[in-house]
Amino acid sequence: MGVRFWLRWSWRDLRGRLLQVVAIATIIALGSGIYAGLGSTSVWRRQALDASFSGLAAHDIEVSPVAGFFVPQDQLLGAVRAAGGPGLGAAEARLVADLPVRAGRRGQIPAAGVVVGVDLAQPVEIDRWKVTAGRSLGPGDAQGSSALLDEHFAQAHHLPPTGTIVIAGTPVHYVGTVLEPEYLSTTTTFGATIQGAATRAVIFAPIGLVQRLADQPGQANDVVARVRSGYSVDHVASTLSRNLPITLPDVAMTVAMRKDDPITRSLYDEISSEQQIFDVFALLILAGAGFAAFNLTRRVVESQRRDIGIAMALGVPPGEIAMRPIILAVEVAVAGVALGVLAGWGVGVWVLRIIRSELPLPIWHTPWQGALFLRAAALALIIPLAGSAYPVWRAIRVAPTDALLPPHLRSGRHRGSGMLRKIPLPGSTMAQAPVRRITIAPTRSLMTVLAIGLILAPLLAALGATDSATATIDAGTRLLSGNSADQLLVSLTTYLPSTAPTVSALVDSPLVARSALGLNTGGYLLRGDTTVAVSISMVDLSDPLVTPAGVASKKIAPGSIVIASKAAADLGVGVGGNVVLRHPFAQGSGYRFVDTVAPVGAIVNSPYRFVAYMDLYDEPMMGLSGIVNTATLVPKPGVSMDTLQREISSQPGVAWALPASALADTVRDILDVVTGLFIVLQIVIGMLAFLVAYNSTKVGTDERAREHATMMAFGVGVPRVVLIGVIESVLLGVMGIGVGLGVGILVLHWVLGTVFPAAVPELAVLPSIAVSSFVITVVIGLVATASAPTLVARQLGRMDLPSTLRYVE
Amino acid sequence: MILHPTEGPTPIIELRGVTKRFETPAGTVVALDRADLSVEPAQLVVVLGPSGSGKTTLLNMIGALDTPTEGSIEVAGKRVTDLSRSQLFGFRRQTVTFIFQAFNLFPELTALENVRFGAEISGHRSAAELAVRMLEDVELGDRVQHFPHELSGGEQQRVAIARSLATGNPVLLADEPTGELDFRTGIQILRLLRDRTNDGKTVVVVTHNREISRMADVVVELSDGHIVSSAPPPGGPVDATELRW
Ligand SMILES: Nc1ncnc2c1ncn2[C@@H]1O[C@H](COP(=O)(O)OP(=O)(O)OP(=O)(O)O)[C@@H](O)[C@H]1O
Ligand SMILES: [Mg+2]
Repeated sequence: MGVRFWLRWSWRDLRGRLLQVVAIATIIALGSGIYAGLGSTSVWRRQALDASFSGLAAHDIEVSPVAGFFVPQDQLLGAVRAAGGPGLGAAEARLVADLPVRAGRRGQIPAAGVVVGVDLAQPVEIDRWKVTAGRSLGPGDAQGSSALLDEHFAQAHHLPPTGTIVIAGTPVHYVGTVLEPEYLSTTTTFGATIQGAATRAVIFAPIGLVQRLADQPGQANDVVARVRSGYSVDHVASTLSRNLPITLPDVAMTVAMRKDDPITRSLYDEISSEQQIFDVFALLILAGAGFAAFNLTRRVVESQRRDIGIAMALGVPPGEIAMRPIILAVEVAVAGVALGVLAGWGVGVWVLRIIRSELPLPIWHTPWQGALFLRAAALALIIPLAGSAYPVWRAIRVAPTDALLPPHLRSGRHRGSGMLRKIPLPGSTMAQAPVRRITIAPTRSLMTVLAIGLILAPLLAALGATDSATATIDAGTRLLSGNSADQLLVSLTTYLPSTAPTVSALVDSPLVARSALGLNTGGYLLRGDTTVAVSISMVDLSDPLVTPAGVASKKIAPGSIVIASKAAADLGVGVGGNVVLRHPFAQGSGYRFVDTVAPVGAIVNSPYRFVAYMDLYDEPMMGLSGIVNTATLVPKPGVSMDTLQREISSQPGVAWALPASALADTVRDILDVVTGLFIVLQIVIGMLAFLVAYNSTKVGTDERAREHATMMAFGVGVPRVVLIGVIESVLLGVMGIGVGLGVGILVLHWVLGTVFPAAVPELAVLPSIAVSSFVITVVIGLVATASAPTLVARQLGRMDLPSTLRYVE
Repeated sequence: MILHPTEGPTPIIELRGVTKRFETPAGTVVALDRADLSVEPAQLVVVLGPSGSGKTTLLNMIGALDTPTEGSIEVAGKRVTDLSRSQLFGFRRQTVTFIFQAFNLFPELTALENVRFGAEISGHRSAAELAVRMLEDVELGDRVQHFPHELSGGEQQRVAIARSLATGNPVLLADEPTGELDFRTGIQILRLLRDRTNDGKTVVVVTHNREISRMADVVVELSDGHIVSSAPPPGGPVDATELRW
């Protein structure tokens, strides 16, 4: 018998089980599609980042004085050029000013403005703009007053490509929206807060205009530079660090390399961790598909037993006998691969669209990821074949005499389920039927349970990840605003004595009921080999307005530091233990970092690792006394937050003033992207669970045709027979859901405990799954498993009872 | 219209001009051709005929497993051919009951549970006790907890009979009930069925074994889809013990 003979025969098998083959192929396709599609988007995103950084000539090195200090533009640029040595290429001086901004047609959107003044007299060669709408700025705009608006902010508020934005009280016309390599990440931290795209407005303008707006004529505070090819960035950076104190002796400067920049790194890390997570999701779904394929092949082999027995009795070699079921598995595999390539392409295109619109990047390269698709195709091929191997192997090893026996006389049919079958059950035989069916075919039941469970697990894990993130943000917000109502967080453009008129104007404002001043600086906590970057808020630690809940009541000893629980855990330190605090120390017209041993006075349960508090009383440690740069304001009763915000942000010296609640909202906006992705995940997983349940029901219905016919011969109606199937399917579904919830929780713990901390060490996201997520997972599982059996109702209704009840199978 | 001059008891099974045609790709098969049959209650009817003569088809028509192409069938006062689909299911629950050659026991149910199913489906209250009694009647009182595959063919067939009897339905339809069995077991089964007619049940047994027809009240001979005769066996019914094969 040639291959053609077997092919023809399996072609008939295929036609008889077309729906099931398509069902399993679809599961495999979606699993491998998610793998290939999301894998592709990860590659594309990484390539897009690389391309954007190189295509827009991102700076290699950034040199800047300590925050709040300015150097005349030409002097700054000249000092950097002189200090950089031969490796230093192009360099441009900028003035980056933090100024309060109001956007929108009626100026209704408050934001923290980062206004970047660029020298337009020469063509911009570093950190160039990619215009997304409107026009760019050129040499002709050097003396003008037109600006460009960051695409992220424009998009977050649906702002038009041109319009007016009020910067520190002055209306400025913007002529286009742009993306710029330094500001591709929208997430920044300040003090105990995180800012997202909606509250930070990056604005690019001619340096002259920014100098006027910031009241810093002729000044600059930032140099971006490129390193000539052939020179190492590290070498040029260390040359700069060595020489700058000579070329610019009065001001302490920091030299930062973009490749070490945590924000740039996080852009890449985020992609890697998402890819890891989605790979696991895809593999779970593929494993589920494998179990479903196992069930189908088993049924096919079971129904071919008689043929197999005859073939064996006729002396056909086992290898040839195995052909028929193997060909079917290959057909499932090939269909899975074909559909998988389509699904992968579809998932890739669709996710790319979401990502391109939600996380815009200036330059995109989206080449076909052949290697990735090959790997996905290999998985799609291997899984159904692996799922089929065991049933086929068993079938060809059976004794021909046993294979030839009619099913009810086969000895081995119910082996291994004896224990389960002897369990006494309450109710009538019909009521017991669903449970009996599950226990009589324990392998198939188990495969179905595992398939449904593994497919549902990613859903719960995904929903749980969102819940955990939301819970984290809420915890952060609670910590920020304490138990009081909303408060206005104010950041000053520079360090000021608390008695300065700018400061008094804030705290003495007739709109303000209560206020607290503070000093915010960056620093590091060191212990052993671990270094944790922190944002130190120096406030009155006995004032509950600015002190996290639970700390205000404690007596914090002078010189102690309050750190976040995540930092304490990473550093391995507890209350009373010592850490080395590397903090700025005022010296001359700048700062230098010094190390001070500080005991941990308290640990706050903040999800943000970078949160740290000290008492304002300890300021002398930083070489300062009575110096502040932040204020927390509570409006008088009857004064709205918006009124207070408008009033305060129009004051000179204010970098930004934002309600604490607005900051929390913007982080939630970031999560909306993810939520959008997960809705589709819900739909896809619902479909997959349905397909698995359908496959299992179909297998069960085929296997039990004789029993169903007998029931109907005794007058049991089709709805009742379907109901048994529904109950059986739902029982399996419930067990599958149990597995799904268990595995889902494990995956969530893995994501939040392993993948996430590696990618975003600054955040401590604790697993927390909302009731609604459990409900969604359970409902999707139940609906899918309960509805699948109704699909076979037609088949039951049209069953030919006499032929089914006849002697032969 | 056929007249019934002899005023006996009302027939429990009445077929008039029943024809069954099967349309197959190879052509039309006439399995049953204008069959008329009248069976009185509490009788043992044996349907005889060579393979392919339409015996199973006839039985399936009476039991409403299949519907005739033409003609009318009345069983226990119900005109089967006029019943709706759901009424047909009710008819099978309350009026007829099958004993299959292939037994068709539920493999995942014990002997007792298989019999209980029969009692429950036709609406008996104390189904469990009834099932035990039925199994004792077929001398399987010691096998109640066995699963079908743990029983011999004859034992399985007796469970199937107990399941049918547990329904309490007046018409028993048995298609080759002894086909799988050895002589001794076959006789045992036939005696069981014979006993049911003494309880007032009507039993229709299909077989191609002429010897069995000797114990029937009425022998219906089928040939090529035609009922060629319908009469008591020559010399009247004998006891099962007198059968030889
Ligand atoms: N579903 C069907 N489709 C086509 N033809 C059928 C079908 N069922 C029965 N037949 C044909 O009808 C005729 C009568 O079949 P039936 O099963 O009633 O015979 P039988 O007398 O019971 O035979 P046996 O003793 O072999 O069981 C046969 O020629 C058979 O091929
Ligand atoms: Mg027959």
